[in-house]
Amino acid sequence: MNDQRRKIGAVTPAERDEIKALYERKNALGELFRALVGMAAEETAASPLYERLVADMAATAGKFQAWWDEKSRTYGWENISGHSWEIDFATGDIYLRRQ
Amino acid sequence: MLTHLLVLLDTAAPSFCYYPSGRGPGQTMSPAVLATAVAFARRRSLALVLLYGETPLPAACRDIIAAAGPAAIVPAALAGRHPDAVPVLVAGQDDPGAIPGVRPQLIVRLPRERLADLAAVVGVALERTTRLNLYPLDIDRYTDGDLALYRRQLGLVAGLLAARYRQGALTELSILSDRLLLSRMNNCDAGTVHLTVAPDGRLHLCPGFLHAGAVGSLTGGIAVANARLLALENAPVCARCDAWHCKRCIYLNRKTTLEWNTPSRQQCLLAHHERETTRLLRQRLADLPAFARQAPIPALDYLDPFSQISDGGLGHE
Amino acid sequence: MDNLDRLARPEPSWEEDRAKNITFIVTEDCQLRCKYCYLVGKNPGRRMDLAVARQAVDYILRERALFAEPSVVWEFIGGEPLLEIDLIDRISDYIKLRLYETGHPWFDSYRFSLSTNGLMYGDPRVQRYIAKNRTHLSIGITIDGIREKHDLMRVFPDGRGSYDAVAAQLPLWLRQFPGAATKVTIAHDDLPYIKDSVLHLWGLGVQTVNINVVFENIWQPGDDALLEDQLLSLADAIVDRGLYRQYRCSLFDDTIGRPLDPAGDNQNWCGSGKMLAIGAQGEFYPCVRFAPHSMSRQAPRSVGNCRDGLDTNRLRPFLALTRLAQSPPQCVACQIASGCAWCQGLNYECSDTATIYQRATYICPMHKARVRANRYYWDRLRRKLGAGTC
Repeated sequence: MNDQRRKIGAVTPAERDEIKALYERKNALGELFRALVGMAAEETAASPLYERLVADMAATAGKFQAWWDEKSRTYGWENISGHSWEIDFATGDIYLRRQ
Repeated sequence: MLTHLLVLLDTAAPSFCYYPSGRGPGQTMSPAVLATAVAFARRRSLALVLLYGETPLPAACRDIIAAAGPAAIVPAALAGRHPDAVPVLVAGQDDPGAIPGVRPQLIVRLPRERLADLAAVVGVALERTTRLNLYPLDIDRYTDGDLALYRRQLGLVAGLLAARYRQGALTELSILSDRLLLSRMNNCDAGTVHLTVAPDGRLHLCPGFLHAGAVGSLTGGIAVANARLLALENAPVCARCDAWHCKRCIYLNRKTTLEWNTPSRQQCLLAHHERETTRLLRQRLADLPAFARQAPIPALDYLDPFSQISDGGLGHE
Repeated sequence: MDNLDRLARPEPSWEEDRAKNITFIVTEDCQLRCKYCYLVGKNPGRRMDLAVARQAVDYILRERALFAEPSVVWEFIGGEPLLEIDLIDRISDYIKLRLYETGHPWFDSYRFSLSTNGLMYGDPRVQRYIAKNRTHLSIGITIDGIREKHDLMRVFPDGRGSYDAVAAQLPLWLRQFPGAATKVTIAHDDLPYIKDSVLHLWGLGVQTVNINVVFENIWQPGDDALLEDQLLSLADAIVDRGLYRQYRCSLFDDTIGRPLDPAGDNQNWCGSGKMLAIGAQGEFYPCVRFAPHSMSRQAPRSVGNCRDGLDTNRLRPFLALTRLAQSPPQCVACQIASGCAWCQGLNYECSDTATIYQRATYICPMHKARVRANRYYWDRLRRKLGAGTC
């Protein structure tokens, strides 16, 4: 434990893998979106990519939040205003971090 | 241990295995170099094998050869003049029917474009010899379709052999019957068991390496750098393989993988199609006492032994 | 002793053993002429064209059976890769776009990585690229230690040292990549500066210092003793000041210096062939060390190109490599063999028959010195931690 964060629980490896995959996808979609904004129109015009991407981002963000909601209910994780949960992907440990 | 010296009398001598034949007009060996080669072999107790081209040799060379009495490999066109030599034929170019008599040994090289004729070529050639060494050529260009065709043709050849064996014939075919008789690797072993001397007196791993640097000379002696890489134990794919009849051709290895000790996928697949066909042939003939005595060949669930040693994965077998 | 176990092993890299490493050689040019650099053919002429990079990406993404790893690290290398930051940016965008369009599994598990001399790190285009790819990017800046050492080796073509220019970029870099590591190279001339350099880099805030002694045939009698002396005094400083709690130096590794089992420990050290490097003209190489600008004695060794695809036959020797098949008898019999490294590219470069199966062993005395110093270090650390003072 340090001043910024303390451990409040842990998830199973399978649960860890679920949120890790969602986290990776959420980041990848976000950075693809940033790339598309800067790309020349002719490079992306051929595909209905924007619509698909935006829908994908919304769906992934929803699944991501749902995972935290469901796991926090299941495991009864502490929640304090001004703090957020975070996971260590190496161990599956859950921490409460001061923001 | 080195036991043979191959003497390339003519750089345009036809190839007797996988490497390409030299293009003419070739350089022929002088009587002086030939005499030195004979002496070199005698001092080291090496058996001589002469590789003839079609260019006539000077009388002095013929005298040296007559005195030494070596084995010889000759182009099909010279078979009549060299009744004790092993003739080399190229399927589609040379007519086995023109070879006089029945030879103890015959070499047939099969170009890729004649692959569909493999069984027919073997059928004709076996009428002229009791042992046929067969070399499919350009195997580095074999596609998966070619490999499948090769497998089908091997099946036909196995049928021919089975019929002969049931009639009591003692016919050997390198790509099928050799594996039956072996209990360990029996490869070409160029550079280890034999070296080749070129007309200029320089030594090479085999005739296929004629233009790829020498490994010594008749006057300077033998100097094979990295000779350890010719040994089976330093060939990670081959060391775990039991296609014991495979030539493990270092010329093809070098050409396709850039290493002496690593075979191409095609070389491995061909050898394993041969091994598998031999396995089935032995099963088919198990009721014959001569075959029942041979150790069964185990079934394998792979064709390319490379797949058993690498976790790198090359996406196919 | 959990803490010691953690200290004794190198940190695993991202998705280690699961990620394919694909390297774009975007340029063969560099602003520096580092004296130990193996890239002997630096030139401003050969730079990658975007069309070539796209063709390579398309081929790789199409051939899923050949590139079946669950994750990928797309790496950009030079020369100095940031000289081509605009190209890198466009290649990265194209990769992201194509991964998504094709529904490729790597979209959910990729990273971009580059290693730079740091000179252009503050360039606005570089900073824009970092911001755009923040969660998928790792950047290493090479700083070689104290000014004397860095400026001895990492010089501009006119001979000036590059320390000041690089050190000026470190605060920004460490803010953006707090856990980043630097890569230090040791050759003959800079042996006396190892201890001070490691301590200096830690003092600058670089928590992990990865050090390699060069594999080339440059070592002189007495160099091994010099290396050992430097490591012994570094070991004392680390243990006495408790620096092991926060910092890491790759020269200290408790897994090195043990005998290796001929059957169980027969794997190759080097990852060449498992990774793929793409040259400026779209040629594929087993790693950058086999590309034309790395070669002085042998021909470059390509394993295909982005037009015709991978030549899988040429890859087979790399994937079949074992420790025993390439090692001379003294290495096979060595009782402190673990951790003794080799570079397949240098082995090839120095070989007698243009083979990757002939191990160069110039590093042998330096490995032995490192093993002796490690024994001293871990013994001291064990005694200290065993006394419960961690």
